[in-house]
Amino acid sequence: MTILPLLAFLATGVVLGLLWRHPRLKAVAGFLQKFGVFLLVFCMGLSLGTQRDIVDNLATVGWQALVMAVFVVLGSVLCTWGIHALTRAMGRRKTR
Amino acid sequence: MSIVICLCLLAGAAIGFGLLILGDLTLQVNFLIQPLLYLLLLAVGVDLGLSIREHGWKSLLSAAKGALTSMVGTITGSLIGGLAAGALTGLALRPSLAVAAGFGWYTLSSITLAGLGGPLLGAVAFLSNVLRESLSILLVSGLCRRGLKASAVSAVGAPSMDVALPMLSQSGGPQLAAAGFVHGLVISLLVPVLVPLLYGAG
Repeated sequence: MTILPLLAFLATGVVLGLLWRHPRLKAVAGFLQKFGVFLLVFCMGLSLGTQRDIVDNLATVGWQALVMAVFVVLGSVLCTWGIHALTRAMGRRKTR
Repeated sequence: MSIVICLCLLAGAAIGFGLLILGDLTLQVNFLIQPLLYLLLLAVGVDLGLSIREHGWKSLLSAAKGALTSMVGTITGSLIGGLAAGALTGLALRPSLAVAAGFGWYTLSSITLAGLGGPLLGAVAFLSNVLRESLSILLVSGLCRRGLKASAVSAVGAPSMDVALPMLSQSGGPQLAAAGFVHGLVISLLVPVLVPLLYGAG
């Protein structure tokens, strides 16, 4: 999967949203997003369930995924908190 | 929303597993997934275009300033966390970084990594990024109550522009929602670039 078609569809959407003054455009876009995500996730489930190497390795995959999720969230929270505190401290020193 | 998504995933996996036991057939659903993803991106773009038309470029830019701290924190924190998780679970360096660079966008990162590193890596990318989204949405209100609004946006990652937006708006007000949208947009644009780059696919 290449990047270009993804960005092209996103950009086309932005242009459509900017220029096409249709009263139901927002509702249609919202509907597409909601049910598109459901259908997409269902298809992902289908493709996960039908692949024997994933089903047979569910314990490994699940463990790696869980640890990854916890650490990634923890890292993001701590880094942002650190940067926020640092920039605020620097701002205070400047105004003093 | 997260619960319905989890149920859709489980239903798909259960039906797929049933088919596997019944007939041992490998279902080719990828031809369905790709056009769906394109359609979704088109819809996200329309939403973005509509909000620019409604609020103007300026409001988006001022929100972007506030979102900058969160963006830097999301990128560095996710990659450091991904490295630590990889070291702990025995996942190699580049795949760990690439999975972490999904930033919660599970559809795109899993499809990309399934294509680059095989179905198992795709599964890890999918599950970990789904879990990131659910886990972080649960944390948003608590973080905001402790004054860690920028951290709440970071924890969510890319879904801060769509799935997690109502939660951010309820817990942190309209300004946090605006920052979350800009943050999610920039992080989302980085996913299709960073995931293959960190995996080493060039």
